[in-house]
Amino acid sequence: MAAFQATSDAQLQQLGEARNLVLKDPGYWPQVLQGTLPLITSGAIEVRRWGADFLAETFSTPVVDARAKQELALACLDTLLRLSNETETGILKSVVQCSASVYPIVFRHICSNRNDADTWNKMVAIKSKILSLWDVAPIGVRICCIKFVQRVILVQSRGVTDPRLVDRSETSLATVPANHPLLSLPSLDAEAQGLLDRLLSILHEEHSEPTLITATLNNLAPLVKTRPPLAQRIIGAVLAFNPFARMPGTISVQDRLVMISVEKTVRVMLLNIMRNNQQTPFAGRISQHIQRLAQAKAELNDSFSRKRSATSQQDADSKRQKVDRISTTPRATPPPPAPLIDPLQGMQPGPVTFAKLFTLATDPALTSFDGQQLPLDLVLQIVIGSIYNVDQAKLDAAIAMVKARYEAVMANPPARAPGALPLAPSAPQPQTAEAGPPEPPNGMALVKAEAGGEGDEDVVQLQLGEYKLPPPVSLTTQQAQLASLNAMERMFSVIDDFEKTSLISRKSKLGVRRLAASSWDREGWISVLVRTATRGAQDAGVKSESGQAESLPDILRERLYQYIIADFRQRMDIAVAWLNEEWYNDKTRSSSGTPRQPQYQKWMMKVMDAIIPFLEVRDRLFMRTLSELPEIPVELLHKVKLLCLDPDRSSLGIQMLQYLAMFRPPVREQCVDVLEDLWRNRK
Amino acid sequence: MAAVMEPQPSQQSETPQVEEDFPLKFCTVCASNQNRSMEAHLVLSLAKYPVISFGTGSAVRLPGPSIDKPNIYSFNSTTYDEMFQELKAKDQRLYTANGLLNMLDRNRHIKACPERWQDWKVGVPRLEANGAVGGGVGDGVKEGVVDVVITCEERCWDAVLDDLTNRNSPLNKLVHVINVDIKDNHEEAIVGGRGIRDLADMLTAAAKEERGKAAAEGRGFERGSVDARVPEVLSKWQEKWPQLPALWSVAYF
Repeated sequence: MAAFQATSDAQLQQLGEARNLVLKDPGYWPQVLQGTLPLITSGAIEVRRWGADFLAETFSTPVVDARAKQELALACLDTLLRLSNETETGILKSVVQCSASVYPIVFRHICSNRNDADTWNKMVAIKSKILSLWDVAPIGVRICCIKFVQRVILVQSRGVTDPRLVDRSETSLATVPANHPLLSLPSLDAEAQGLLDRLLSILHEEHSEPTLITATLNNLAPLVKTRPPLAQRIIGAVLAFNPFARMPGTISVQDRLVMISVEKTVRVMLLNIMRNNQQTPFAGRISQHIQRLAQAKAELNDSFSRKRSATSQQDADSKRQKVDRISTTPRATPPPPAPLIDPLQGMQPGPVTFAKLFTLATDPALTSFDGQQLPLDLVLQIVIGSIYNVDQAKLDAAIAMVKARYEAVMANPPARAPGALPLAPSAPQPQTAEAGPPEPPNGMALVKAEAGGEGDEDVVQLQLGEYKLPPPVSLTTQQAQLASLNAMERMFSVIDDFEKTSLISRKSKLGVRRLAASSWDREGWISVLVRTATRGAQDAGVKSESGQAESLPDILRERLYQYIIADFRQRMDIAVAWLNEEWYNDKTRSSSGTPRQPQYQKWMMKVMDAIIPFLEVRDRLFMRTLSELPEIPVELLHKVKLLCLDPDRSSLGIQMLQYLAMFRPPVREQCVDVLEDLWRNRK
Repeated sequence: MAAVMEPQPSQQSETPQVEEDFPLKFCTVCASNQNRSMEAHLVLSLAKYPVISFGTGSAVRLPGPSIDKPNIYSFNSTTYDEMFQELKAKDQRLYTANGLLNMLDRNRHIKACPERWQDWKVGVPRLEANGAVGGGVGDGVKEGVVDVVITCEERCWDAVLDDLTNRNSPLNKLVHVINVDIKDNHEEAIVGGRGIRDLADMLTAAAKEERGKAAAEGRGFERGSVDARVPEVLSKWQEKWPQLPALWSVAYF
């Protein structure tokens, strides 16, 4: 054994020297490789490792020219085939990498050597071996398989059709001569399509490794750029891929790292495609998608705690994307319908309705559909979605056509139908924007049909003078106040609709530099309400007419107070946020010197008065509330003291005082006094 | 600040059988191949890692007497030594005070000149002496290919991925591209250098561990590779170095 070891060591050393030689003088490379091929498969495992790496390096290196590589490729197929049965990850990685380099070379060779079935069979055997490894091998090998598959797809699909742009050095299906005995175009093409599907499915599987996902993404851009027939499918798959989709319950550092890395890889890839081809028909959707990703990422960064709502949002997004894709892809490719239908087609003489004026669809089923059956928000969604996706040229053409019709109608005014309503001056504006392409997909048609539905009884009238909206009536103070209160009530009703996240997880990680109420969640609305009460609605104007019932801020405060005590256990955080704001506002106002009654103490005592009688021993969370108050006056401590006198709840009271004494140095003395008094006088 | 990993004794005591001891080769990248990538280059090569470094900018830009008068040099031709001599002659006091001379002096002892990523001919052997003043540190990467690229700024990571895509991967060789965000000043560069060293250590340790795995662990494949574990190792590293935000992707040369 030792002797064997020694020989293989010596062999390795020799091989290492040989490698150094060819690195220094690549001219020797073919010679050295030919010389080592027999050793590679027969030698010890160390030698086979070295051999696999050396093979991969040979076909990778730019210093060996293509002609030499072609000769070597044919010579080393046997070796590759034998090495592909090894079980070591490292060897397999090199074998697959090497095969990815060799495949186009051999394919080219077969194209010009019609009868070399032997070579082709070996290559096919290697290919099927690698494709079987793709499912079962360790990740490291599978990453290499992905590259191999990309090479196979490149070779076995059609490139640019424009003969001026064809790259002669590139291997593709166009290289295959007609009637080749070994290479059948349809089956090669079909195999490539199948492999592409399998490749893209990596993006949409439930539990794909992030390693495989990024590797796949980084392989797609070259396919899109050099294989236009495949572009649409690939881009569709990438746009439907949501890096944030599999957001787990709790986001670990690794989840976050993987998500932002995958997202960034998608973005770099899409930008690369866009930059290289500004004219791509997908440009609009790609840039939209990039924006959406940025948004989703911002949400992820903004707060880990809102992950659940973010996921559902994302899911909705990706679902919508899929729907979009289904409805938009069919019309991404057809050439623009140059000859638009005759503007006056379908326009019978006689009274013209809005519906007739704007209906460009020729399908009677679509024109007879009554859009009013649809719920308004669905219509809005359809309109917005359609406007985003509509082809600008088609829209312009459609607008021009409606304009032409309109002018034609104007030129031959029909006899006014009895009882017809004059045309509302502002009506045509939005509807013109809704007019879509001549053969609209479902969405567009619905919108137009709806426009038609409304307009059925309206008959086009003639003169459209300039129209100005009259200025709104100015509101009285009472009305304004009433409106404000209504708005406030709506905000309160919104808060309860949000899912309650736990107090701890909700805290934003961004610290003081974050913008308050930057996201429209529960916390955001609470901030808005609280700040409206404390700083927002100025009480200065009302103070002068103090005879008046109550100022708006006070009403708002009262409302907040009611809201908190209605369910104080769940709304303790609101109380803390509010009282802190009051205190802060008191401080800033008093330092600015405006005479003003401090609000903090008044409302704090009011809230505490309402809460304390209902506290139970289990309300330990209240201790936290107490400790988060910005200022604790002695009066409050006396309330707590009363709590201590209740035998049922005394332990809670004592604990509160104890905690305050321990962790709240400013009130330590007072707390100790209270405790001492309790000890001396009551127990 | 997170703990700085001291060099593993095992790595230093072993004989310099580079191929066997260091399963991974590294490449560090920043904008000008001056500050962050060179600090990391130095740290890694002192730890005997095979390492090379590049910049992704269009030219080498160094601070000048005022913000609108930077010193601009071209990549691949002006040596660190020439820059050092020129700036020293221009205003020794200023360039000593802002640390440029110190940095260039360090750099000229590492390699000859700043190299541009986009001009790197991947796979062409790099056997010549590195041209550093006094012979330089470390062996570089003689085969001209690396396993892990570490960029020091998100912009550079983007540029590297984009460039790799445009190159159309003629080598078919996989590479992990990792970003470690480091602010471009001397202090942060030193912290970043330590972080990158730690990352290299962790990746190498994982690679060795995988390599040691026997066939027993399922499906009959032996001696794993580090590839599958990069996300896991990187996130462990991220927990240790939260001030250096990371990114990662698998790409091909």
